[in-house]
Amino acid sequence: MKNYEQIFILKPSLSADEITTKIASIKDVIINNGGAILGFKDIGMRRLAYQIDRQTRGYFGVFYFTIETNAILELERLFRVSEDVLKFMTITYESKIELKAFADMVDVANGKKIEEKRISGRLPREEDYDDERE
Amino acid sequence: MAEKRKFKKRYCKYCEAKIDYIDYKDMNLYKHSLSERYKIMPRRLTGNCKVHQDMVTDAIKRARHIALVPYIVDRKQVTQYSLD
Repeated sequence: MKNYEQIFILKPSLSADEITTKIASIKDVIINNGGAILGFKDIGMRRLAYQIDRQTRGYFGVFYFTIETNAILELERLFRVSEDVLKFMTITYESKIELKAFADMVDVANGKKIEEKRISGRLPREEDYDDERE
Repeated sequence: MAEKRKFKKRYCKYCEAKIDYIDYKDMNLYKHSLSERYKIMPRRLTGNCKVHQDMVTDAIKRARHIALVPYIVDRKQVTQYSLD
């Protein structure tokens, strides 16, 4: 059993009910293949950075779960077949640091921890850069 | 005579903030490692250390795959797209 994170983008044309049923069906697939769901994070509707299938927006959701390695093939096959899913990505968390981050993310998804604010997002400016060239 | 240094010494912001993992979903973490056209900034300009630069690279590449960050920003998109 490995720790996985599954992110997917659903079509924006789906209604709220259709989205919840779709998410539930994904959940069923994971459970039926012998997995255990640790958490679900709802990112929601947001703008895509580039067009996918002529869509500019998409509904994002993340599942955190553990499952046997072989079952991922089946899960990804179903994602590819499904027309409601614009894009998806499966990520494994294996090393020590990754596992710690994974546990943190699961806690955040379950509402046990509040996402701490880390680096202040100051975008670098031109004048920061042109030194030591001459 | 040694010329006075015009700019601050660069340091790894991630080391300072003691970050041990960069999540691709958290854009604020790697925002300042992206250029205006959403290219990954080199280490010599941001001052990131090697360990954190590798994490940033991984995170940004993942974010690009899942359409959180654009692969390219050309003249058509440069005005319309802004990181939110």
